[in-house]
Amino acid sequence: MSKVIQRELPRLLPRLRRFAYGLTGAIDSADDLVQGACERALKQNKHWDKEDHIDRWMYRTIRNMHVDQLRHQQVVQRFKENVLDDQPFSEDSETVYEKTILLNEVRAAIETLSEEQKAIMLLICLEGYSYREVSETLGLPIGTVTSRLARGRNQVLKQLDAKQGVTADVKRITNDC
Amino acid sequence: MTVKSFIRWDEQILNAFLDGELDSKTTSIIDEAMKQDLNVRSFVQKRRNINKLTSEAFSEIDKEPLSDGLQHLIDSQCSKKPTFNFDFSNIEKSMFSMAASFLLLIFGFGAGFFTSGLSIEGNPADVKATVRTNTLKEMVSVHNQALETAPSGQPVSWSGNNASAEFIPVRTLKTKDNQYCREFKEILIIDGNKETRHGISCREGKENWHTKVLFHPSGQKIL
Repeated sequence: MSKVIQRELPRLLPRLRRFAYGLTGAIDSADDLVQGACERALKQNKHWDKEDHIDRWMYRTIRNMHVDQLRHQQVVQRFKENVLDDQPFSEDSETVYEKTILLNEVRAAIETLSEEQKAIMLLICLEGYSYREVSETLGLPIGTVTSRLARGRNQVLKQLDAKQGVTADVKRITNDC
Repeated sequence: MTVKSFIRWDEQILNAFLDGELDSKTTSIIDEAMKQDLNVRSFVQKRRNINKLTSEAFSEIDKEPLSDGLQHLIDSQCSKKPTFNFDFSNIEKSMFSMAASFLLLIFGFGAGFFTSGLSIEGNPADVKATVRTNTLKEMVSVHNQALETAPSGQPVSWSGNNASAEFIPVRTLKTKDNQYCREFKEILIIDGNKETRHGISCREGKENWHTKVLFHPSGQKIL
């Protein structure tokens, strides 16, 4: 077993978890996915000669495993999806939950993207990868990455704009930038 | 070219600008367009904000401890252990024997229904003694307070005689019937037995939350 992978996995964990959380929309499922991918990486006989390739391999594996597992989603996930399709909070609880709602809406909007768009959005917007790196990681032409990213961002914005309360928050934060 | 058609036809270029993918010449042209044109500026700013919000929304998992399985895998296979914000070092030792799974079950139901079927790792021989009503009430009250006031991701801790707990609201939802619900995670330690569970509670009044669904980490449905 390669010592490189043993050393690199703990360092990569926070990034892998965020990515997996973005794909699955549930913290439990994210950890399951990361665990599965780590197990697969540790079992690999492959000689990991370049540390900077491990992250891409891991992202690719997580994404592939997620797509494989989509049909086996847990009950809690289905429950979540049912209730996520909703309106923002209002009145008395608005102040308390304002930020929570906004982030919920963002997660809900990302969840509506196709699996490919989701992976592209997360690697670029969340992890700051370049288009070329994402193209290599996901095995897609760079033009596909570029166009799906643009469409993905549009779709997320459209969904957020559709929610009045969230629009106000987005405007407020945008003004702060 | 009008501004509208610029945005319509060159969305990909503006996205690439935002992501730092363009050469310096094109970057400076768009920099200039940003200064002069509100629509271009707004287009880029809105998407920049999406990046920020996406990052914030999914960084929530950073505050969560690793699942037991993942933690075990990393501990046993890897050379360096990542650190998290959870600290259970202040857990009090047991003062009296209490039915760990008994209390967990009651707590899960919130209103005090008892059934069988819940187990927790530890010593099942402890499942005999009486539950202290005050302890239970306190625990439920802190659970409700956490759901009522704590932002998602922020843990609320409680510690009693032989039990301690950490409640973490995970996200806030609203049902189609306009009822506010929150997904939560709870880590309960009773007589040294630790149990992590996930659930969804819905608000029925001020600091009055009813647990609708409760799961073991294994995915087994408790409630």
